[in-house]
Amino acid sequence: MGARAIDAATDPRHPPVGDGIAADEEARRVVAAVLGGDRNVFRILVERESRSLVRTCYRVLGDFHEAEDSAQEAFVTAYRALGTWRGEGPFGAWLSRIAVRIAVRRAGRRRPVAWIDPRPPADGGRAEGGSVSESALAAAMGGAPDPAHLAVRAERAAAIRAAVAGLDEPYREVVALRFFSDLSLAEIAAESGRPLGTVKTHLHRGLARLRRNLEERGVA
Amino acid sequence: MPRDRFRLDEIAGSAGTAAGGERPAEQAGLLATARELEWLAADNDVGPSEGFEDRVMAAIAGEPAPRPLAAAAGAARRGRPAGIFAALGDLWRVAWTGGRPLAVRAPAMALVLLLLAGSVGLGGLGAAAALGMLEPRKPAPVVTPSPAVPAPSPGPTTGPTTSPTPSPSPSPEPSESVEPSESPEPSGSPEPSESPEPSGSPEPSKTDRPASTSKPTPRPTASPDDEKTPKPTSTPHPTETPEPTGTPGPTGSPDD
Repeated sequence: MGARAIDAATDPRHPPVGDGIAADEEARRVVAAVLGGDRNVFRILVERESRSLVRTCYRVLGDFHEAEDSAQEAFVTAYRALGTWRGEGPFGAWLSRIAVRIAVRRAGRRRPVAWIDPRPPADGGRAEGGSVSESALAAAMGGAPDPAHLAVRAERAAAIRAAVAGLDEPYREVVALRFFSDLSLAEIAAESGRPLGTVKTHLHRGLARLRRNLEERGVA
Repeated sequence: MPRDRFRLDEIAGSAGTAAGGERPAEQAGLLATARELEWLAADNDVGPSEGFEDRVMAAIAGEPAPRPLAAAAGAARRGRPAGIFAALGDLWRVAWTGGRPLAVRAPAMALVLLLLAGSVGLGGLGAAAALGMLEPRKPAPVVTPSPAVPAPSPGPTTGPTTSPTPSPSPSPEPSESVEPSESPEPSGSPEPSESPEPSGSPEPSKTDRPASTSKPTPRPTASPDDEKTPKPTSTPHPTETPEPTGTPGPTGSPDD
């Protein structure tokens, strides 16, 4: 996979209370500097957001290399349009929206593939997500993955990704941003410029449609 | 993972969930779907590989400066009207919304104002042109003689020495042929362009002496003067009698 181990405590998507405002202020300063001609300062934002961006793209695509390509394309796209960032919402939310669009578009172009991940499954969504080192530790402790189980899990993941990619807009974007990009509904509303009630409706309808789609695929 | 796991009250108040009117089965279905998505997200928690930031910065190094003007120029170069309009919209936002340094807003403001002024000017010019086209067209005076008029041959009945105006058609001055009796040519028209053929003008009003040509040409067969015109039917149309030799009538006109 080539993935780097993730320490949940230092995940920039989960900053301590109060760091969000400081991060936004830093992003505004960096953007102003880049627009003033210092493009190398953009590295600060790349280093800060790359982990969450690659993760978001990977959740949409299920392929690590495609996820990195999509994340890189999202950074370049954001750099080109940096002058259009209003600076009102979090920079990460703006960037995630770009990345989700790129990843979903890329997912729609290719056939769904069930990538088999040799790592053991995470704990049903309760844990923060297994890093590579945690997976290796679990395997060493006797939790060797069953190939059949891995195949079933991969097919299930591929079916969910395909169902999300098959949603219509704006349901697809809201579902992806909420569940794959870790944004709250308030952040999605602020970033997309839609009322919070509208975003709630989109999420509700998106989940309902996704449910029907998964039932048709025999996943749910 | 989001900060909190999905709960149904997160979408409370949305359309379709009015006052708890949703059935428990539907609520369970929504929750189950949300758990599937959370499972997928938790199962795909990865980070970038080594050197990812360097690759991104290398890709950005080849990009132009992130300015809306550059984006508009790039869209124009690529020939994408939608991109141009989007870039202009970005220009407007950059110019008139806050949160950006003055060094970025000032050029955008200047360009927006320039585009506005240009649009107003072009619109005014277009309106003026449209009004000008709607006005009734005035008749333009004919000042140039038709260059296509061939030099008429003096005709067999008139010698060049007897005619004071051997080539009357190119002469725009009717005074030069004020004497029709002396002129062997029937085209005493003051406007040569309307009588290109020397054999005769079909419009009597254009001649100096309308009576000289009006009688044979309009209704040659019904005219009582047919007896005096040997071949009146051969000269109703100038094009039909290109040769003046076939129209001996001019000199034999009743006026003469």
